[in-house]
Amino acid sequence: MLSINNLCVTYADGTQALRDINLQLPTGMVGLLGPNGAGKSTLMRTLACLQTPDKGQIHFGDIDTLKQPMALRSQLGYLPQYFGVYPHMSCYAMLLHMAILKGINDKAQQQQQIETLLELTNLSSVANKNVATFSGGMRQRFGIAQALLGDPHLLIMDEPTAGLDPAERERLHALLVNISKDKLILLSTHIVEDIENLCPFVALINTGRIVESGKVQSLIAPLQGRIWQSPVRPADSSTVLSESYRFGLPVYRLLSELQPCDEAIPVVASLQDRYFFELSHKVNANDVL
Amino acid sequence: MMFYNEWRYLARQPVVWLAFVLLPLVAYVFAEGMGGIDTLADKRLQVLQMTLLMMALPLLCGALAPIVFLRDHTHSMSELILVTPQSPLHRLLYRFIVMCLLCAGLMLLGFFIMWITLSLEYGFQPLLLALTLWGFALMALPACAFFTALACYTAQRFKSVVVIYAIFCSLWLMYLVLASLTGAPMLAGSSIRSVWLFDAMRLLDPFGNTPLIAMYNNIAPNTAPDLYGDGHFYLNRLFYCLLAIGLFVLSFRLKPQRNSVKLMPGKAEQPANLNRHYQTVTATPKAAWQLGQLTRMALLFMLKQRLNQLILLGWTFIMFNEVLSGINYAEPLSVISATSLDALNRITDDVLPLLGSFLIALWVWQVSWYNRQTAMAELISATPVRSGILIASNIIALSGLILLLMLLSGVGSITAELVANSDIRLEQYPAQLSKVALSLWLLGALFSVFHSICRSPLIAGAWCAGILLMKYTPLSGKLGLTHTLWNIAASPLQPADAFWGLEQSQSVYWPFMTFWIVLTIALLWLAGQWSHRSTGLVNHKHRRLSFSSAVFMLIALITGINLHNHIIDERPLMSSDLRQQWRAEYEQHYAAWESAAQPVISHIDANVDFFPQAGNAVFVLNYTLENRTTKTIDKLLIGHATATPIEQLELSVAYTSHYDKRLSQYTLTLANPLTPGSTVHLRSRLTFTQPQHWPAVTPQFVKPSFSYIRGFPLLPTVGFQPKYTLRDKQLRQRYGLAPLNLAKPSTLFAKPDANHASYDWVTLHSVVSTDASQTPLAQGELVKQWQQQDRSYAEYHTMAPIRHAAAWYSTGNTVLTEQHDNVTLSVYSPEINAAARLNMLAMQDTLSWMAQHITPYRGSRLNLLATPSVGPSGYALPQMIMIDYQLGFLATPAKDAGFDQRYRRAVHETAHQWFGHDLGNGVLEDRAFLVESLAKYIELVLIEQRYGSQAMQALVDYERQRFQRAMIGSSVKTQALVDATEQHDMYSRATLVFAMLRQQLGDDVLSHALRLLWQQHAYPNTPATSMDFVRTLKSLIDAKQQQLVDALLLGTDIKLLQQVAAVEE
Repeated sequence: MLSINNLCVTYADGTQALRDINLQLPTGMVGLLGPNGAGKSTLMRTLACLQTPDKGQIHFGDIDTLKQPMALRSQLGYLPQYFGVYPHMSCYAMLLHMAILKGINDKAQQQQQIETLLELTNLSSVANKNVATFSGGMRQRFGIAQALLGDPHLLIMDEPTAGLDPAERERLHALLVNISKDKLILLSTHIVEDIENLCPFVALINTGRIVESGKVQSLIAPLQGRIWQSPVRPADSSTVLSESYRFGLPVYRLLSELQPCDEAIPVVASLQDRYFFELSHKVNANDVL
Repeated sequence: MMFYNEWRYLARQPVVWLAFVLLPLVAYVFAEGMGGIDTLADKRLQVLQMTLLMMALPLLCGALAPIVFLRDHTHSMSELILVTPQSPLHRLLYRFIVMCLLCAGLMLLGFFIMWITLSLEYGFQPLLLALTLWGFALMALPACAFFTALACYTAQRFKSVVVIYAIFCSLWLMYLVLASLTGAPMLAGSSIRSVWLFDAMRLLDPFGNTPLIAMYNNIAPNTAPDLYGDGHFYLNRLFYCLLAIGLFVLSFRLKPQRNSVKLMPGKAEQPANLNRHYQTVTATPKAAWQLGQLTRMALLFMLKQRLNQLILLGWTFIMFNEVLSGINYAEPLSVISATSLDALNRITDDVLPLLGSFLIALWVWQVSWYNRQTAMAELISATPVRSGILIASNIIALSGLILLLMLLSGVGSITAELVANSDIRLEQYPAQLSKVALSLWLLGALFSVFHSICRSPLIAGAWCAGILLMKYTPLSGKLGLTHTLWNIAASPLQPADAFWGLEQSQSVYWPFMTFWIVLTIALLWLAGQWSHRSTGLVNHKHRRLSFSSAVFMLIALITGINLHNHIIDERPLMSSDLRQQWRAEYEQHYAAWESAAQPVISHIDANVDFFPQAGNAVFVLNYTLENRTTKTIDKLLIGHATATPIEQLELSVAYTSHYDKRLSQYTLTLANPLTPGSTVHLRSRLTFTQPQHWPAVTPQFVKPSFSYIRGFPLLPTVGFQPKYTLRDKQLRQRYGLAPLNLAKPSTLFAKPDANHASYDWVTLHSVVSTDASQTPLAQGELVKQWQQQDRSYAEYHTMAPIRHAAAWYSTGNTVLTEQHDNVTLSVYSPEINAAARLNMLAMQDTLSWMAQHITPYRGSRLNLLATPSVGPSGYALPQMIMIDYQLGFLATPAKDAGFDQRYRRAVHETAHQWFGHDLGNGVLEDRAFLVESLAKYIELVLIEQRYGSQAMQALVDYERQRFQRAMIGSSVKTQALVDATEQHDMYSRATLVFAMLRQQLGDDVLSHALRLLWQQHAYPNTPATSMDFVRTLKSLIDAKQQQLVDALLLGTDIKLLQQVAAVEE
């Protein structure tokens, strides 16, 4: 559905934000996973035609988005990582404003969709409140609502769950899964769990390059049977994929064909393991699975 | 370490960098743009320092205050900063000191730039450097401390950037108003309106300017002025140092700032209704809907801004105040019964465009970046709205605001008219305000283009600031950019007047505005394609000029070139640089002709046909050239005005011709040389065409209501013209011309036989025609008058030679004519009212007095014409007087006027028939004493004769005030009255001097001296010089009186005038 070829973006200060990106993304939910500064937001903005690339092509269906940005915008729902709101405007008025800009001209349709979205994002009770006074989570939900206005075929969401409490996060997940059947929802986040929960397809990005992309299961499969978990650091630290804590105690995720230490027990591989593998091994040591 | 930290922060702030660019630029513009060539460099330097402080420091502090004192608050860093282990006092103190030092450093930089600029002009002087450092230490430093402390206090107190901007802008404006009311010499039109206010400001002036200005009154000429302050000054500075400390302490005691945004209470939310299903809605974007919504949003956003609300509220009052404060003002001691035209002229030419332009710059900034400021830019940019629609919505919102601004201006003006009981003519409002609105709209649209294309608001703002600098400062002139198109988004349209409305420049409006409209549309189209959609994310490298943009730009280019060609064709020497270059080249190529024998013009036979509606005048001229030299002449140099070629030129004898097109000079070589005493006839034909792309200016214009053509410099000249010689020393040096002997008349003509000049007088015969509805006028006696083919004809002939300063007119038929002895006196005015009769009376009085006491008028006819407000308020040519209609015919004396300005002016211009056109001409090196200063003497005599000594004394008092005011602002070394070139010397000081001479010597002696002067120097004798008058006068008085005459006319000590004034009082 979305085809990206040889996409490069260089900033005025010489920073190469995107380097020769090639991606073929299908319908449904797609995760874009990468550490901070990997180029996720730049890629999102470029896909949303906010930023022009140095070279490359982007096609969404039949649309060459670089040549026909307006055609893409009429099918686009966009939630940037950071956004603000106009002062002195209620949530409803802001959504109405965005609806008109998106081309929803019929008043009945405007009202119906806005009210639906307010309910779906749990903002109905504050619809007439000044949106500038919203807390971070409420504002994020407003952002999601505005992105869903109209009939977007491409939804680009940069860190959509940022600031949401667990319940709202789950609610958003449910909503996104429900609406993703005939749309492409590109979800950018550094929270691996979100992508693992939602996205059948994922692209890993680091230092402006796509380091891996494909179905989530296919990315995890090579690791199955090789992931170990240990409360102690093994003697061979090169097997350590990640170090985290649970109840204040360290937990090491290890990659090894054999049991790396006595305390290690075999566990099911996750996308997070693949993510850390890509960050720590493939990039630095040219390790391959 | 903390200081270093603060500096590191400031060094990264664009506003600081902008200040480092703008402030030196402003200092340079001031230093270059103010004052003239003089020798009182130290006084000029100090005035420049004062100007920089008062114009720049409040704005600088206002701009810096938020980034220094409110940065934690505006960037949500408060909590991070407040928890650091640093005491609030230290934090505030560091910031205070750093901002104070930054402001002081910038001021020092400005002062040094001014010092260097003046040093380049006057050479290095240690005293100037000392004054610079003194000014910095005692004027700038306390002021910087005070304004920084004020910034600190307001930031702590209000925590709002907008409020800080508003406070400092208001302070800046308030100070300018106060300075103008207390006689600040750097503000045009400023005078001491209230002694009480002036005295208060000596202590309360935050810059210490007023106590220094107070000392200028006591500066003795040619002595080192005391520029280093007095007790008042030092007290003032001490007061502000203490005030700065007090404000700082007060600001520290204020409670620390808190978050002003109250988030909604975190009450438990209801679970979402998950049964509701997301339903898509088919979107069909429509440009009109989007445009309407975006425009509405932009307008609402702008109108909800506190700053804008404040400005709009104050706007009506500013306009009301501006109109009311001068609606009846004609000139000092003179008022008019105002109409809406006068009311609107108070604002539509300066206040409204100037303040409006700055306001538009602010609004365009706000409306262009509000999406980014509210972090909505990406959301909006991702919607299916074309960039053109985004820009158009901003432009439409801006148009709405401009309309609102015009409406408020109109309301303010009409209210003022109602209060002033003015003659309200509502039709004037849309006509005049729409012109201002269009100009502001175009400017706003151009600003929008910058903000749409430039990704950085600062860069876009810098472009806009550059345009405003070019429009409203002398910068463009200093950079040599004198083309009229540098007045961006405007035309050279002149204010309307009661005589002929907008006729002076109506024709220029649409050619210029058409160009600006076409250019603006082309640039807006381009901006629509190159817009960053307010995100600032578009990559410039990928911008390509589309075909449609290229076509638009091409059309704009063609329109511009076409306009430029018209401008150049109509006035090839349009700028002072070009004129100077022409004059230099003229001298370089033709200076040798100055010593070559050339015939003089002894008679001019002129057929002049005015076509006022078509805007042209056809001249067929026949010169009688007479060889009055002792040599034979074989070559003639004939020149003409560069913009008006000679269509036909022929001599009555055989000759060959060579034409220098560049310098508009013909060299005619005679087949048979012209022997001494013989004559030859030169026939020429030319057509003066009124420029359509330039406003009508004196001394040549042909317009439907009034036409005036002075012969020089339009008509062909014979021989080298010394008038064209560049006289400025530096200019001559620049163009490689040899220095001129520019000795003063008091030196040059110190001996009686030093003058070898001769009169340039001619006889003149004119047949003039114009439209049937008008009267054709020329100098000389009216021989006959007739109508033919729906045109009016008149034949005039001078019975004797007159000064070679021919002029022809076409004016309305309304005339008041009276016979006075043997002279026919006529007053031509649109209406024959009491003022017309008063002008007639002034002419009669002057003719009578001059005939009785000095010498009778030479001619048989004298015309006084009411003219539109173009050129000087009064001007005289032989047998012709022109007086501004508004001042001479519509104005009346103010209630507090002790004399009548209309009568005074008419007497003055009539007196020029003797002083200027009888004596006072023929000696190029002499200055204006015999012309202007002696005409001032006649004013005194005749006002006393007509209205009594009290009225005469009122005139003296008025001129004394004018003189004192001018002296405060003047940095020119005082010269002897006979050498004077400054207006306040030639007119005001002359009045005071002659008042004293009348008092000490009496009118009999003065008129006797003038009679003798006429006997010895009247045409055809050797022309008189100013020194001839001094010698003649001294020959009639005793030694003590001679000393007085020397002191007053040849001395430079003006204290003598003050002493005598004190005795009088």
